[in-house]
Amino acid sequence: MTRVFALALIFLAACGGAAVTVPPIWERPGLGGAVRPEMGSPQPGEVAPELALPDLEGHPVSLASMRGSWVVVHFTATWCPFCDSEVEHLGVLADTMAPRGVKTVIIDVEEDARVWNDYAGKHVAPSVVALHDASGAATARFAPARAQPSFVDRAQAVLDATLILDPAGVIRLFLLPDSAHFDPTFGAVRAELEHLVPPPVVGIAAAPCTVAAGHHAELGVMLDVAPGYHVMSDGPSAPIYVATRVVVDSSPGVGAGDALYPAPASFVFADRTITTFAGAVELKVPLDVAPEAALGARLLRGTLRYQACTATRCLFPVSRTFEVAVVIVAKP
Amino acid sequence: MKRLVLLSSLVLAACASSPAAPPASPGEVVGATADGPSIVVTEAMGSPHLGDVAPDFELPDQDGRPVKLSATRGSVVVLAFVASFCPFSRAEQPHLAELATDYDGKNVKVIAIGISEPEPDYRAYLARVPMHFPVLRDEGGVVALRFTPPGAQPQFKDRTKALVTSNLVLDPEGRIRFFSVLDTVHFDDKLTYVRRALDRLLAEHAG
Repeated sequence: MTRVFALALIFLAACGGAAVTVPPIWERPGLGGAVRPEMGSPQPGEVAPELALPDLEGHPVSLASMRGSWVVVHFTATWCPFCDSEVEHLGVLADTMAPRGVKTVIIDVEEDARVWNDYAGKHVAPSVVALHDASGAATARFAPARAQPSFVDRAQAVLDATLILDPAGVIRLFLLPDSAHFDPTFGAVRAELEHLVPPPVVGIAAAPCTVAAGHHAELGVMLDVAPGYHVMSDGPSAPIYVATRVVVDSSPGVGAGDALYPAPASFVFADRTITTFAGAVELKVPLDVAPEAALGARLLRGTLRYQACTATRCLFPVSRTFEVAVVIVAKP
Repeated sequence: MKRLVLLSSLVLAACASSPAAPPASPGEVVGATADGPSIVVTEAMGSPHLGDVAPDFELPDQDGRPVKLSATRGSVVVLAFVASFCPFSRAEQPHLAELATDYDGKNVKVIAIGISEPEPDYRAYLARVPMHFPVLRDEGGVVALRFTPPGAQPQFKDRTKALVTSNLVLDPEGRIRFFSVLDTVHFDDKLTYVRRALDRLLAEHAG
């Protein structure tokens, strides 16, 4: 026991007497608007208040339905010059982060539904979930009790605020506007997301596809394997290896076939040849659209399963889902 | 990074999203201190700034009577750019009315300029708090734009809104002696810094 203490003391001494003080988050670049403890609840570390608000079609969307995903929430109003200068950049953020499973939500506060719908149609990217809080009641629950204490209308205290929620719904970043360091590109939010939700070893992106009823098409699915890693091919060289597999689910009137994989790369390990994919891997999924299939856009759900390895070690096998938009048009 | 760009460009092309603008370059910022607000319009932001003679204008007040800035020469003037849609402006409004009352009879003229908003919103702003001084209508934000230095909120799409909740104090010669832009993090709803600038100027001219 004494020895352990002595050792611990030596370690402490070695680390230097000067205590390392971490500056508060609001002193870091771009984070001057961070909610401070003295402002009261809700705070980072707490579960975000629940809300269910109508989207542009009037369907209610709740934050609870997004549990399991990282979520960016941004409060806006069409008249707010900060918000208006940011709205297109939120779409860029959403597009960049969607491949990592991050959902982006914009909530319009206390405006006429027609004003909002018209504005959202022009300025909010399709990748952003656009919700409308006509009364401001749901938004007001997000306002820390002592943020902008002079605002009687509490919903306005979080106007232009941006939050990052983790998959359990816990607030991980809560930024109020900071007009002295205004960055409409959400630079600080993107930097936090890079840190909180790093890119996966295998990226997946599927390009939307337009096909006429009664026709065939090939859906392009792009895998992007990080440098230094490989995944097993679709036909692995030994039963213990996890094959890379992309499966797109059929939907009524749209049949999705077996994915077509490119030729794998192979290398010799011990006495056997191992076939793998690395870098950019482009595969095709055949689609067969029935003549009577309903016209319009729909989302097909897909699953990707793989095991990524370096030359010396393998990560756990992973199954991930993705979505791809298919638009069915009338027969030419 | 290349991977990210590759992936995101694929998704971007698919969604036909809007282009990215260059990153922000905020104007010069003086840290919030006991002596002044954190965003002071300095020379670095361009004109007009501290020390310049304020641009002259003539705008109608709440009764439709024209008010000309140069006609106030000889008095200390508080110019407040307001907008009924802005919650910061609304929070300041009772304090602006109080300031006008407190400095009544001290050779101080308070003038509010309502930036670019529909007539009903302007009327609603007037109805909220009694304002016993000119609240001018600046349709289209024409006068606000002439007061907006290029470096004030350079990232705003709508330049007419860069000065919403901005306050100026002019000396009896019409020179800008105090010029702040809204600081949301250190919001001075009680107009402490405007009052301090007023007191300093009044002391200067009493001496």
